[in-house]
Amino acid sequence: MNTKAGDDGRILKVRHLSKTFDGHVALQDVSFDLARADTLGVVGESGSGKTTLARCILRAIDPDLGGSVEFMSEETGDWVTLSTLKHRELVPLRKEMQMVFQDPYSSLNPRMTVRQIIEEPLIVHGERDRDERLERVREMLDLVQLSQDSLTRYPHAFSGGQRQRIGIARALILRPNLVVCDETVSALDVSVQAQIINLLEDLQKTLHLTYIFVAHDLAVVRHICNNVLVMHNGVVVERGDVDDVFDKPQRNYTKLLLSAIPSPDPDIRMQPAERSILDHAEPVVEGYGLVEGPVWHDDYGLLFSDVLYGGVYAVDNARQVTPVFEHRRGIGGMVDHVDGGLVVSGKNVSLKRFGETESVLLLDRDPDNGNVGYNDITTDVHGRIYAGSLGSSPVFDDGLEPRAGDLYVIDLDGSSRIVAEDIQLTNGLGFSPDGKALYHADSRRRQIYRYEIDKAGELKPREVFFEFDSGSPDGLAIAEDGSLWVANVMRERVNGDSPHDETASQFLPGRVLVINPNGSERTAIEIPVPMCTSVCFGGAGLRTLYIVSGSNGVDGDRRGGVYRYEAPISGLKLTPAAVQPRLN
Amino acid sequence: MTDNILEIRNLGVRFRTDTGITNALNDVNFDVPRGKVTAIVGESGSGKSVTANCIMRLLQPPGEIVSGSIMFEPSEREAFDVVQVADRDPRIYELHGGLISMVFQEPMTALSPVYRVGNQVAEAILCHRQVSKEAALAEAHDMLQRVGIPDVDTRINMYPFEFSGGMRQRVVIAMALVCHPEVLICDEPTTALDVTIQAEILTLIKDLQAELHNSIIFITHDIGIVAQIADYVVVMYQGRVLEIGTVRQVLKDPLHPYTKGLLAAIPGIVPKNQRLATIATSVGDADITTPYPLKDVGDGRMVSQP
Repeated sequence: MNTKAGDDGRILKVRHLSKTFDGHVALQDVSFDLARADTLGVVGESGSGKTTLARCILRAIDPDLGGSVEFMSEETGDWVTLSTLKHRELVPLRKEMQMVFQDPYSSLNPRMTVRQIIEEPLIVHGERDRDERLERVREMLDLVQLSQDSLTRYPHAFSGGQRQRIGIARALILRPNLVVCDETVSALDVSVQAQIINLLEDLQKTLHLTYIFVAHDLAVVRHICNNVLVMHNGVVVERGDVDDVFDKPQRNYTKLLLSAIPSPDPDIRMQPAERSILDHAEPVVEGYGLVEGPVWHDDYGLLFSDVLYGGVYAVDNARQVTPVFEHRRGIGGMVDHVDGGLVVSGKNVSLKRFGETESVLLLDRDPDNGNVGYNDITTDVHGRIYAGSLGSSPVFDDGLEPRAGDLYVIDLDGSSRIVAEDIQLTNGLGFSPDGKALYHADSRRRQIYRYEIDKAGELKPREVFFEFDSGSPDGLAIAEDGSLWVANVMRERVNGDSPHDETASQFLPGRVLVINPNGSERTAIEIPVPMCTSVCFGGAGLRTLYIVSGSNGVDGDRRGGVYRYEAPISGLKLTPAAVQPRLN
Repeated sequence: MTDNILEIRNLGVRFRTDTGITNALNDVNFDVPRGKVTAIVGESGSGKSVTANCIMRLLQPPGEIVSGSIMFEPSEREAFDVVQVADRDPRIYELHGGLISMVFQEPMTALSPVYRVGNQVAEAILCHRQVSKEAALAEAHDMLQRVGIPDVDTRINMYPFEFSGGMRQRVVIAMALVCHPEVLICDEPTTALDVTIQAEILTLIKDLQAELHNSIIFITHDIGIVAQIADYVVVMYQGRVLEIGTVRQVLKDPLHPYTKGLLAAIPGIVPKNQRLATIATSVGDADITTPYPLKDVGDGRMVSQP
């Protein structure tokens, strides 16, 4: 195998690939890496975007501007950006990537002999030597286990499985490195399917092929793939090692797909999940940058901030958005204060209380001592404010020494003190309904801590309450029954890239994880856009869950918005005190 | 009334074509127990669909039944041999959609694109019973509701192209069941559907069967579906029956080498790193082509063996 410059074992880098057909989004922001000689499965229902993805990669159709597909060309020994090449420039690269189709009947020209079908790619790519071509065709027939006397016969003389072998021979005669199999075994009988799967596996070993295997048959994908992308409505909802994804699916859609597979064991009864598990939160407002800090305010209704483009806004029931006050970027946390003002916090923002006429500084940020601001804040039943400082981190890119944050409490008289230390990043703070415990989500350690509160009102040492298997926690809200509703950012690094390279992240659709008071998982509510950042309860009787989401922080990105979710919390009584502690 | 609603004996079918005679079915024997689901499983060319077409008397030239009988005993009726019923006998008319009805693989070919779905379901009633069009439409409405079509009041006046694949198949099932047939033949009804929609349709067929107690012949190549839906299994290969038994007997303890091979070729059953068996490798030296007759091997099981 080649070890040329730039070759790091990967053959394909797909970044932010999208495709829109007449306004219909068929593919949205797909990123992944593919290692050489790997087999990547792409699964999903019809219309999920699997075939569109395969075709965009091979440039059978042109993807939207903005995304990129980079391919490690063996010929040039370097990365080429397939997505922007002119069609003329693509021609020589076509030798290195080929496709095998689903239907062995319609994909072979009935008027051509097997020899003509298999040698056609050689002619297209300028192989003039007839004997050389025949030699190569004969080689391919051996490779796909068809007899040499097939050469002069026509496709109609072959069975479905044999025709699929002809299609494979045609794809492999140019000695490609990347082969896309689009439902290649779907139309075949099970025993023939087994032969073709075995053949594909053998060819991969001998020829070091890399496969992208598009299929709706999950059992087949599990058998031959190492990694899998699960697609729904043009979005990758889950990805990873095929056994991990199939054994421990994280997303509702993956659970639905897997639960629908009829087991060949009559003693394992099929229990298909209800499609209603896919019902996700509905948009209230969209088109913002990075939306944070939702809070239900008695006077304004729902308030949210835009960290990326600045400002604090109120949304009324008619979904009308009114700016409440201008502010430069950065406000991340908000809490409705007992004095009627609004307390705000954020990166590069000091902790301030905004009243009607004045603003009061509660805690200054202190960059010299490694504190660039405050993230989430909350108040307890007495009206004391708890705020987690951000510390500093290389991720902030502010040149400061890395330092963990602390948890501050600000008493009613304005005095402040540190009550807990060594916090990697405070995302989400909230009290249990009885006020006897404080929960705190640490998004870098991907844990939620619980602090019990003693009789004097002081925090006891923290204990780990919940650990996240996938993604990390962000803001949280606590319901009256003591359950935690935690924004769960599903963001994954694409293999092999720098951890600080934003373009190498794949954001999966966000979700809210509901955790029971005993620390077990209850359910997950999904939102249709990436990066779920925070939640709060609001609306009449505080029975609506508001979810806010953000873009990935790149300027110009306006995928942030506010979503609402009602169905499963009807019947669950929420006391205002649990969500918004107030005096008296 | 016997326990079996259908008893198929020595059924032989051949296709006379320009290139010669093909024996599509050879000495096919099996029973369809009343009120149960019998799956016929096999690969393409095994004769599953030809068998179904014989039961429905839908076999078209150049296909012809050359031997055997299909005894059909509807409840409260005299048993008769479907093979012997003359083409112009009114019982043929009763068979089609009245006593026996069928759900096909591709719902769009079973539905007319130019009629509203309500009318298509009602037509099935009007063909078999003397009722007014209004009464038939009301019954169609109920049936569409029963097969899980949402918002039937609106949907009943829509055309098939306005339905998704899964919803179309629900309409076809409504059409098939609206005359309360005693036998429902499902010929690969979920093959063209996504796995999630397949699960919904299988659940629907199972639920309706539990409610209506009709006898179902379910034709499929998918062992997973057989495991989930069938009470009895008939394994077919090249126009012959190789093995008959309950679903547990056949899938958990297959006796015929071909059945064993079929099960070993399924990716879901075979461990990930193990090579899939092909019929040729797993059958090995065992003879699966000689047409041995079915032998009773006890426990109600039948196997084709010397």
